[in-house]
Amino acid sequence: MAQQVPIPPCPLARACVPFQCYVNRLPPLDGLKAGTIFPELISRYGPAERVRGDQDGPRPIQ
Amino acid sequence: MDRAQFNSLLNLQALSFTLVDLNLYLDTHPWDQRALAEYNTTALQYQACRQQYERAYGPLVNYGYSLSQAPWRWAVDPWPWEICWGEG
Repeated sequence: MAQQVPIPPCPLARACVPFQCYVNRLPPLDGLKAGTIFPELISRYGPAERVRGDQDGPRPIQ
Repeated sequence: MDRAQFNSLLNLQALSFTLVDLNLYLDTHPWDQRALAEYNTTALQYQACRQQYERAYGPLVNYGYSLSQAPWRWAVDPWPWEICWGEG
């Protein structure tokens, strides 16, 4: 039987997620390549970095 | 699958992905008029492109969601996921 471990008297962690505001979006093909149509949500890691790093990379729809 | 069919399918995938992302955004922002208008515009564009694709290349899905000419094109056409680069 699992033994219950008492919670130490310290503040609990709190997650904060900023509320998304729609400013602009990528064209469909660029969004598909980047993994999101919202430029602010493009991951800093992984293949999407290449898309964002392109000099002629995706241009948001204004 | 030739280049034209591949490009049509890629365009459909891109439009579909845009719809998914707008859908997710609208789930948390249901009153955003601009996003809603863009969702509806993209949905109409997707439907038109899908009809055009199916007229030219056969059904994208089965189980009654797409019509078929004779022969039953689901069995004789390449399936939508059979994408090959470099053909055509």
